[in-house]
Amino acid sequence: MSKRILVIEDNPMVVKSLEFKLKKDGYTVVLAEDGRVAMQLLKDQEFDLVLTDLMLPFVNGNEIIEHIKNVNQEVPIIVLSTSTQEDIITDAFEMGVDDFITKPFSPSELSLRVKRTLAK
Amino acid sequence: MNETKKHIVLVDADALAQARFNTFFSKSEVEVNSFASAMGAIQYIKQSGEPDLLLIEENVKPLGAIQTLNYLKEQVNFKGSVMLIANSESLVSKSADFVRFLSKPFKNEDIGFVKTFLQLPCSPEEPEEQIYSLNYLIELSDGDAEFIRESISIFKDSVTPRLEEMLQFYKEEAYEEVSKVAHSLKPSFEMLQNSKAAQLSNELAHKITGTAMFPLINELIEEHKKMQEALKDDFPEVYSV
Repeated sequence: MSKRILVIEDNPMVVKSLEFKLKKDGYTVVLAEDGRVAMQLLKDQEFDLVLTDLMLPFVNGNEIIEHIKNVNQEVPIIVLSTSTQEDIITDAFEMGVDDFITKPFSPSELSLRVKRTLAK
Repeated sequence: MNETKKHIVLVDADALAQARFNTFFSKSEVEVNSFASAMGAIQYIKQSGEPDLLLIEENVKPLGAIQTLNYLKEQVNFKGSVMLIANSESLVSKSADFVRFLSKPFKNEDIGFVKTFLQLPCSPEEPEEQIYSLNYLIELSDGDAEFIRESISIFKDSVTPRLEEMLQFYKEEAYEEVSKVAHSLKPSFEMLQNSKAAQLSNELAHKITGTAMFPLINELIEEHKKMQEALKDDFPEVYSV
């Protein structure tokens, strides 16, 4: 069965691209366009990987990371960020995220990092 | 036509290839006349004369590249330079009739060759002032036309309301919200490779606040309008929906 990835991102173009690329790589993709929807999905379903933006409507990425770490330490998290968010990225790593990807992402880099994180 | 401008006739039914080809050239240096069928191009060449370069797709309707070229030679005494566009190399692409074979999606080295051939300034990067480029989307999707059109459609529908929202937040002096919208919009401009709009978004998101935001918001709205106009010209089918 293919690995399930929760993508939490509010920019619809980025969502479309992530969905296209990850599906092409053989993953099952579940989308959440804001933090509130993401929190609900995390309560209701299980995921092999969470790919999340940090600046999100309603509930921000750090709160989501904190929630995941409190509920299920095992689920790996990759943060999607813009290159100007270095301090925020550092905070995210301190919270225990596994990796980060800069937006707009390099398609091959995304594939590689997702594969590597899932293999850990 | 401006005498100093180079003139290319492009014959390819693939609207995406036409649009992508146009993004490589400055409109002040090159005039590209695109045709979906050979008949339109033949008629145009009959009336306007030989272009500096004819680019023709291998299987263009109704005659295909070879027969179209033969027709032009016999009926119009065409002696101009021709390059073949095709998805992959073939016996046709090796024909001596063609100066070069260009594979799709267009590669920078092929476009560089076209520029050198036409004696145009050749830079390794695409012009910085470009309104948009599809290179990122093409790389991401391996040239999947449906994905690219859907992405353009999402851009068309999603950015305008967010810019309106941004302006409204500014009027309400909710500057932090302006920054958040700008931050959220930035990847949309980056994905269509408009560096000016991406830079403006970045400044609004992370560097500028208060009333100093206003001129940048206006500039961003203007740049977005230019992008929409260019995309509408190149993808009328997306904008007619």
